[in-house]
Amino acid sequence: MIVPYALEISVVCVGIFLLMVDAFLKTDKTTIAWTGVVVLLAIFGLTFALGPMPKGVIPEAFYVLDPTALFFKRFLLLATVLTLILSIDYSPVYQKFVPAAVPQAGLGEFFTLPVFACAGMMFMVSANDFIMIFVALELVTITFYVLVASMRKNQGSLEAGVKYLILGALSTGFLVYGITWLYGITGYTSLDGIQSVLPRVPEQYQPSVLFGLGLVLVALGFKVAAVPFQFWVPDVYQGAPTPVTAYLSVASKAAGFVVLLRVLEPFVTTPTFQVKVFGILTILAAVTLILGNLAAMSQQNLKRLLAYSSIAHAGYLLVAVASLSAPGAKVAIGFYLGGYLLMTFLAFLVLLNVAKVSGGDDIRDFNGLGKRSPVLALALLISMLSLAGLPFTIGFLGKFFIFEAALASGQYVLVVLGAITVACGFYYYLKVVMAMYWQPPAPSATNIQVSPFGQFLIALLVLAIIIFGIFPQPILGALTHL
Amino acid sequence: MEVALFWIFAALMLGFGAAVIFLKSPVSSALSLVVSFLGLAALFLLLDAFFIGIIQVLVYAGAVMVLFLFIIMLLDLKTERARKINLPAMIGGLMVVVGFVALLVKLLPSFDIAKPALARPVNDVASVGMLLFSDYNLPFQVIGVLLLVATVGVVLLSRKELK
Amino acid sequence: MLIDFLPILLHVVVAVGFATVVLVLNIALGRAGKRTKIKDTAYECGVIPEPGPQPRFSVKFYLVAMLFILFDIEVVFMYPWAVVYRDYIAQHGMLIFWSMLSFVIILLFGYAYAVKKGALEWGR
Repeated sequence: MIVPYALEISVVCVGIFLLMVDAFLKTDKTTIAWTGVVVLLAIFGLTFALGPMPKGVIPEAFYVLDPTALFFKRFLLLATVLTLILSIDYSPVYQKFVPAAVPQAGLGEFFTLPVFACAGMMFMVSANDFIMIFVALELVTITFYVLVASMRKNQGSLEAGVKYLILGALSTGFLVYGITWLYGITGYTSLDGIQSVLPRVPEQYQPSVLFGLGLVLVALGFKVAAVPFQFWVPDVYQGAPTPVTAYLSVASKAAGFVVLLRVLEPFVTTPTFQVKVFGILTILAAVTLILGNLAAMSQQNLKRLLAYSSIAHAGYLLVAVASLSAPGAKVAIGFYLGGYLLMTFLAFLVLLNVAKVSGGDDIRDFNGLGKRSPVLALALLISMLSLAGLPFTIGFLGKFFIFEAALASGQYVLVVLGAITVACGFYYYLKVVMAMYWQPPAPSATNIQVSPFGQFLIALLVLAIIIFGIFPQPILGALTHL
Repeated sequence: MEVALFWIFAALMLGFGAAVIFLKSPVSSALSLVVSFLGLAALFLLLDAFFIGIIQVLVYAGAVMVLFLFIIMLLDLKTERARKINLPAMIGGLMVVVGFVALLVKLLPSFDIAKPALARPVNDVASVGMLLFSDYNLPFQVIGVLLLVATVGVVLLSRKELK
Repeated sequence: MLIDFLPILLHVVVAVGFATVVLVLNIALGRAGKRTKIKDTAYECGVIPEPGPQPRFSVKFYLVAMLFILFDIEVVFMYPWAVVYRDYIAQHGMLIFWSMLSFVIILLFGYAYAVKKGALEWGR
């Protein structure tokens, strides 16, 4: 019989293998990244051979392999592959900021650490026990601390690393403290166990349960960048190496949302806690929507703008989480994150290529991109329109499904707020588009060459955004069992 | 005998804990912290909490050593010695202490001190071991990967010139 | 129960006793004349010595200390392992052996990486 966590084991083995290649062989370091891409794609293929397993089959109580877990494992593998490809494009910039004794020093780790983060996040989406959630989450965050700070000769990267480390450690503290409260009252760390005990919790202990859950929500809110736990996002996103920013905003957020869904499951299905928990989530979603969108409007730096947009998108996803009582909410979250993966990686791919030539990632560095590189400009245009939620893009359908779920569960306030903030979104995303097409290029600006593989990837992402925006059935089909 | 040992180690812990705060030199503070931790570890052992006691010595001794190096490398020892007492911070700290003591006074009567917490002594190291290597085997292996990643991170972030 | 800790008590007594004896002997035998603050200062050709700036320590100390902590934490897991090893095998079989073996092998890769990347070389 095949072990249920064979996928994670193989990803860890890939990581160790690449690390050893980096340490012992004198190969060109980009071959490490390409090997990683190929092997991870092979593992992606293997996921289709491994169907979801019912709970009884898996002996470990910590680990579930349900359709949600399987869908997000594929999602994370794809995100890691895209990150590695972005990292290869980014390696000339990265090398400038690393203290090196030999050429290409530090690149091996830069390509290998995302693989370990991927394994951690794959464990996260399958974790069904607070112990496992905690251990997997730590594996992921520690990897990200290192990745964020790894451009040691760049002040921004170091500052981002320190901020992420300190706030991340604080949120871990909240998580552990919350877990101890929940364990103290229910006597279980496993979510199944908590689910079985929750309906019988005596009334005098109910505030303590909510307190424990609140602490856990603080920690998870930090991971998914929900307001008011979002302070770290703009600085960390701006300072981190660009591929790491993309990875952080897509994969780490998705894994965080899956854990959030699993942790909330026992609470939203228990009548005594349902109303209060949904109340908390509604407030979180509303605040995140408003603050994320409003703060994004005044940004002048594209990376920072994408950081605030990432907060705003967390807001839309939280709307779906607050509407979990509707049957379509989980599918909406899966679909939205799938679309978010495509749009965000496309935006960062263009950003990376432009910043490599212009030397900066402010919006004014994109002035006249329509003339300097029509292909990149078109790609960024489509990415921005999809992030804003224009019809016939995947971003529109994502928001549509979420609002549909919110209406079905009676969250009318959130739907109205969502509609207003979408309008704000159009303002700041179109600001980038304006710069590209209506502003003249700076006199020193040169045309931008993109590698053939980069062009292929851009075309692929653009096509996916539009095709799935008109014809979402393939993704929805993969999500039907959620 | 056990009661006498409790008072000895508690006094040791508190005395050196106070020394951590009152000593001017950061280096002496760090060393006092180590002794304070040792006293705490002894208290754990007296409570039959052997696992936590040993962890206290193993991990904190190491962690404090790193702290120690950190102090030597990063702080300017002379300005630390010359530092004045910050009155608002003192008052804030005192308020926390008073609040904590008030909480203890309120909570302690609800515990029956005469009754032992456990009916019979538990071999906690063995129970931890049995659980860790059977039910918790998977998280244990993940911790192994975590330590591996941390090793890579340490080398990547603090080696002077990367190879 | 407490009698089990007798060796540790002996250890403490010997350590503290040795330190005390050496210090007392030093004071008793070593002190020749009267000490004053002026006499204790270093001789700098008649110039009043100025304390130098804060000495700079290499980041290498920190690297080694951090690696020490990581492998220290590994030992934390070995302690309960060693305690239950025989009982576990009698009750549940060899899983405990393979479990620790794979844990140590994973960390061994980390060690190999650190050595190969020169984290433990002091010279360069």
